[in-house]
Amino acid sequence: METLEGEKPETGRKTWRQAISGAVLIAFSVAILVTSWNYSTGSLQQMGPGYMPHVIAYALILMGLGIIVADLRDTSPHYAEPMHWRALIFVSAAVLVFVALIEPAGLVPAMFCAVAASKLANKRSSLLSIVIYSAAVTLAGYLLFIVALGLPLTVFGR
Amino acid sequence: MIDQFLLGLSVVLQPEVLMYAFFGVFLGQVIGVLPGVGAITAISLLLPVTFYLDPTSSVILLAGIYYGSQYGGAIASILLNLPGTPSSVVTCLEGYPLARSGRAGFALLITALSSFVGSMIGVVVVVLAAIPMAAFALKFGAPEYTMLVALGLVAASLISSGSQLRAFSMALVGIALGMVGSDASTGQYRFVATDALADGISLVSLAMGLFGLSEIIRNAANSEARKSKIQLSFKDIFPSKAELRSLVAPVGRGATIGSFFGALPGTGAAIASFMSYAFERRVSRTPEKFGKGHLPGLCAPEASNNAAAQTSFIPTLTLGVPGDAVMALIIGALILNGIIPGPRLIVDEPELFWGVIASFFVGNIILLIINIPLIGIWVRLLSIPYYRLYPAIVLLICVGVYSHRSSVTDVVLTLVFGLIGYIMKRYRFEPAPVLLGFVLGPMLEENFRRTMLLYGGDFSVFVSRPISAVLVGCGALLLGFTLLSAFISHRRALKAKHQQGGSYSV
Repeated sequence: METLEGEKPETGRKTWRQAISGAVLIAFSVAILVTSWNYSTGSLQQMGPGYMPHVIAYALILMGLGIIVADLRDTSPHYAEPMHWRALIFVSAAVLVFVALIEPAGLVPAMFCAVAASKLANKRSSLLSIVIYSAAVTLAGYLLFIVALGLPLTVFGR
Repeated sequence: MIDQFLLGLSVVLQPEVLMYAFFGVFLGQVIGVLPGVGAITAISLLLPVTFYLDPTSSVILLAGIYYGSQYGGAIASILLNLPGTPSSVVTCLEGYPLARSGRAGFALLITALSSFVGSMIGVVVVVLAAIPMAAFALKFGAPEYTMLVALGLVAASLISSGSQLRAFSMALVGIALGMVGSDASTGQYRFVATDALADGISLVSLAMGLFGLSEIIRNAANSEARKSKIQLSFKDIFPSKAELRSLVAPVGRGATIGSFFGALPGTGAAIASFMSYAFERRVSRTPEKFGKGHLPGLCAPEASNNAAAQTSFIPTLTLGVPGDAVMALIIGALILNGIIPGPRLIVDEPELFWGVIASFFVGNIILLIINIPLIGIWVRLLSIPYYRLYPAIVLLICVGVYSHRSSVTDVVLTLVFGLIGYIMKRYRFEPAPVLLGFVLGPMLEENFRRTMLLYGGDFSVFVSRPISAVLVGCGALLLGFTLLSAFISHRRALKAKHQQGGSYSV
C-alpha cells in the first residue's frame, strides 16, 4: 500500500475499483438467489418461503447496477483512509483466541488472552504494560460477569 | 392519562427499577463522553444482559443509555470541539467558541438546562400522544403495517446523509440477513448453513459486529490522547434572568422541531438538531452572531435532539415499528424478552408501557442532577485515550455475545460482521440501515404475505384503504422530493462546472 500522509485518493483511472461496491452487492444477491433457488415461491396470493428472498435479491441486483452506474459517473475523488491492517489482524486474533479458549479453558484464560491479543492492535504496548493491563481487565471482567452478574460460565477449565 | 402516568411512576420508583433507570442514564452519560463508543454500541453490549432482567427494567435501562448519551455528547462538543454523538455536531459550532471565551462552565450548564427542558417537553408529547396513537394503531391491519414498515425503510434510506442508493441497498441487505432461520409462515429453514443458524442470526452479533468491532478496528491504532485546552472555570456560570428569558423561545422552538422529527420514521435526534440550528439561524434577527458562541444556536439544537430522543419512542412503543437503528435494538430487546411490540402493548403490558415513559421523566431529572456536579468526572473521562479503552470493549463484546446463547458460532459471526462493517464503511456504506432492515424485514414479509393472502394478491388494497393510502402518499411525496432535490443539485453542479470550464478556456 503506497500511502502518502496517510491518505490516498482513489483516482478515476482504476475503473474496476470504482465498480467494486456495486459488483459485490450483485455477487451477494446472486448468492441469495442460488441458495434460495429451490425454496418454493408459491403464488402472489400464497407466497412460499422463496418468494421474498427472490424479490429482495432482484431488488438488490437493481441497486447494485444503479450503484455501479452512479460510481462510474462520479468523478469527485473520495479519500479512503489506509487499511488498518494491524488493528484488523489483532482484533480478529483476539476474538478467535477467545473463541478457541472459552469452552476448553474457561472464562479467565480466555479473557486474559483475548485482552492481551487485542492490546497488540495498538503500537503503544510494551510486554509489561500488556500483562498488567490484561490482568487488571481480566479481574474486572471476573468481578463483573461472575460475581456481579452471575453469568453461568465456567471460570477455569471444564 | 394522569392515572396511567402515575401507574408508571409507581413502577419506576420501585428501588430495583429505579436503580436500572439510574444505571442506564449514568452509563448513557458516560458513553456520550467517552471517545469512540456510541449509544448503539453500548445498547448492543447490554442486550445480552437484559436477558437476565425483567422486560420493563431492560427497556428502561437501554432507553436511559440512549437519551443519557444525548446529554453526554454535548460535553465533548463544548470542551474538545469533537462531537460525542452524531446529534451534538451542531453543539460544537456554538458551544466550543463559548468555552474558548472562558465560559465553559456556563456553556455546560446552559446546555444541560436546555437538554432537560427539551427532554421534558418531549416526554409530555410522548404522554399525550401515546393513548391516541395506540388507539389509532389498533385500526391498522396487515396492509397498513406493510406500508408503514416500507415507509420507515424508505424514509430512513432517503434521509440518510450519504448516497440514498447505498443506504437503501443496505436496508435490503438487512432484510436478507433477517430471513436466515425458519420461515415464519411455513417453518421451512432458509439460508441455514450450520445448525447454529437455525434460530436466525442473533441481533446481538449483528449489532456488535457492525457497530462495535468495526469501530474498534478503525480506531485501535490511534494513540493520541485527547486533552482539553479549555480552562474550566466555574466563575459566573449561572445565566442571568435576561439571558434565561431570551432563551425561552429558542428552546421552545427547538423542542417543537425535535418532538416532530423524533416521532417521524427515518429521522432522529441528529437530523432534529440540524433542522433546529438551521431554523434558529433563519428566524434570528442577528444571524451574523452564529458560530461565535451565540446562545440560541447552542440551546435550540440541544433542546431539539433531546426532545427527539424522547419522541422517537412514540412509534416504537405504540406501533412496534422502530424509526432508527437504536430503536430497532430496543424492539429487539422486547422481542428477546418474549414481548411482542405493537399497539397492544399499552393494553396488555400497561406497567411496562407507562413504566418506561415515566422512567424518561425520572431519568432526565437524574441526568440534570448528575450532569453539572460531576463535571470533574466527565472531564477526566473525556481525556481517557482510546487505546486504554478498546481492549476492554473487545472483551465485553466477546463475553456478551457468547453468554447470550452460549454459542461460539455467534462470536465468530460477530467477527465476520465486524470485518464486513469495516470494509463497508470504506466503500461508503452506512451500517445503520442494515440493522433497521434486519429488525423490520420479518415484519415486512409477514404483513405483506398476510395482505396478499387476505386480499387475493390484489395490490390496489394499498391505495383503497385510507390509512394505507396516506402512507403510500407520504412515501411518494418523500421520493418525489428527494428526486427533485437531487435533480436540482445535479443541475447546479453541472452549471458550476460549465462556468468553471469557461473561465479556464479564456
